[in-house]
Amino acid sequence: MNSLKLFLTSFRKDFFSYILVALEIAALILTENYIFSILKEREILNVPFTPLLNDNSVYFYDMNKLYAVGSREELSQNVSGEYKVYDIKSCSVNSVVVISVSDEIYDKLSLPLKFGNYAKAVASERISKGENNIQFSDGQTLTLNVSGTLTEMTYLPSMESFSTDMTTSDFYINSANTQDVIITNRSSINGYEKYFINSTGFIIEFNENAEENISRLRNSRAIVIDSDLIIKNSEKALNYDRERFLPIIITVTLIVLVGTICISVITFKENELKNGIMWLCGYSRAGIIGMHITNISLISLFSVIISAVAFLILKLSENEFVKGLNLSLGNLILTAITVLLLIGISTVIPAIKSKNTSPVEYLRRAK
Amino acid sequence: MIDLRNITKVYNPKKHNEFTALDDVTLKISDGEFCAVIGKSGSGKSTLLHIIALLDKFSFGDYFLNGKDVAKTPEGAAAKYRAKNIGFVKQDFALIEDYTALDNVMLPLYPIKAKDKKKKALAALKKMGIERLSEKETRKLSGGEKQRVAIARAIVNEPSIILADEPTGSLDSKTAAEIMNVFKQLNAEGKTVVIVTHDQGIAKQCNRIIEISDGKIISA
Repeated sequence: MNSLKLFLTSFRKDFFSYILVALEIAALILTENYIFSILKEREILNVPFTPLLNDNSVYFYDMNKLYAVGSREELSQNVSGEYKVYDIKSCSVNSVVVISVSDEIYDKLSLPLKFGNYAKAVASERISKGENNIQFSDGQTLTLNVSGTLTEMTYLPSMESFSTDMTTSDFYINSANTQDVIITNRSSINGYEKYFINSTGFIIEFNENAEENISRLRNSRAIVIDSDLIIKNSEKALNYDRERFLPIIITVTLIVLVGTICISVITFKENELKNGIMWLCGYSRAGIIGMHITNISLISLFSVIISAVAFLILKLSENEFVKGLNLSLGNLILTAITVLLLIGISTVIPAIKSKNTSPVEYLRRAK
Repeated sequence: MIDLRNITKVYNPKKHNEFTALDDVTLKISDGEFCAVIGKSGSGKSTLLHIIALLDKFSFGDYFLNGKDVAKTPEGAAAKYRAKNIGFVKQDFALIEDYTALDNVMLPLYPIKAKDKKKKALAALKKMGIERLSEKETRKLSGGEKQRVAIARAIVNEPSIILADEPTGSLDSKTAAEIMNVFKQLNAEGKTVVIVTHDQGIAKQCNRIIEISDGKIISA
C-alpha cells in the first residue's frame, strides 16, 4: 500500500487521534512564532536607536540648518566635525493609526522623515502605518515612514483628537500617551521641562565640551537624549514582556513538544503489528520507516495549515496578545525547522528501535 | 528449489539468554513439493520457515533459493524478492483488521509496483471463493474467511513458493479441511507448498514430512 493511501486509511480510522496530534503541533508552532515575534518586535523597536545606543555623543538636529539645506543628508555634510548627526530610521511595525497634526504643531514635533523637506507639515487627514507619501500644492512630496505607537520607545505621542487651534503646550498636555522619551525640538517644551522631567522625558547628557555644547544647543532647536535611559527603558520593556509571557509560552511549548513526540512513539509502537505485516508482504524496513515519515509529515502539514489559519485570524483580530506579531521570513523558517525537527525526532526514535528488532518479532508479539 | 546448507540460527548471541533455534540444518525442497514441517512447540520449525521466507536472517550457513545465493542479499532486495516469489500464511492470519479484504490482498502488490492492483487482488479473492467479501472489513470476517483472505494475499503476486505457519491452528476442523484443500489445489497448480504444523493429521495430507526437534532435522 502506498504511503498516501495508508495515511488516508489510518486517518479515517483514528480520526480524533490524528486531529489531536495536528492541533498539538499547531499549538507548538503558534507559541513558538509568538516567542520569536516578541523578541523580533523588541529588536525592531530598538533599531531606530541603535546608533544612539552605541555612542555617547550628542544627538541633535538643527531646524535652522534644515531650512537652509533642505535635507538631512546635506545637514550631515555641513555640520560634520561640529556635531554628530544620526539618522533615525523608523520602522513600520504593527501600529495604531497615527493622527497627523497641523503645520504649526508638526513643526514642533520634529518627526523624522525619510525624504522630503522637514519644514513642510504633514497633511491634515489621518495617516496610517507604513510609508506615506504626501503631495503638497507646491509640488513637493513628503514621505513619512511612520512608526506609530510602538511602546516606550516611540517618539510620537498619540492622540485621539486635535484641532488646529491647539498650541504645542495643549498638544502635550492633552496627550494620552506621552512616551518616556521624546525627540522633539527645543521650542516645543519651553516652559514644560518639568512635565517631561517628571515623565523621565529627557536628561541632558554631558560630554567633554559640555558647557560649550549646551549653550549652543540651547540656541538651536535641538534636544539631547540620554542613551543610557534608552537602553534601560528598552531592557525594561523587553524584560517585562519576557516576565509576562515567556514562562507560560515556554512551558506550553515543552508540553506540546513532549506530547507530540510521545504520541508519535506510541503510535509507532501500536503500529508494530502493522509493520510486521508490511514486512511479511514484502515491504523493506526502510520502506516502513518511510511510510511512518509520510504519516508524520502529512499530520505536520495539516498542523501547519491549522496554525497558519489560526495565526491569520489572530492577526486580523488585532488581539492585544498578538499585536506586533510579525510574519516574516524568519517566522516561516522557524516553523519549517520545527516541523522538520518533529518529523525527525518522531522518526528517529522508532527507527533506532526497529533497527534492533526484527519485524518478525512484531508478528510474534502480536499473537 | 529451496536449498538450505548448514543453517544455524542463534538468538541473542553472546548474551546470557543466548538460544540456538536451528542447529546445522541442511534441507532441500524441490519445486512443486508439498511438504509438512512437523515438530513440538519450540523445536525451530517456525524459525526455519521464516528463514526460508527471507523474513529472518540466519547466523551461519548458506541458502540458495532457485539457484540464487540469498544470504548476502540486502534487506530491501530480499523484501522485494519475497514479495514476488514467496507467499506467506500465518496461523493468526496477519491481516490488518482496519482494512478491507481487498486492501489486505493488495498489500504485496505495492512493493513491486505491480500494475492493475485492484484487478489482480480481486482475481486472487475470486480464486479463494470470497470475492463477495472484498469490501468488507477484515475484522468482520470469520476465521475461515480471514484465512482465505490471507491465502489470497499470499498468492496475489503468483509466487512459486507458498509457506504456511500453522495455517489451520485457529480454525475448526471443517474449516481446516477446506483450507488444506486450498493448499492442495495450489500445489496441484505447480506451486511449492511448505506447511509448518504440530498436527500429525495435517502433516499426513502432505507428500513429504520433515521432522524437526531441538533445532535439528530428524527426518526429511
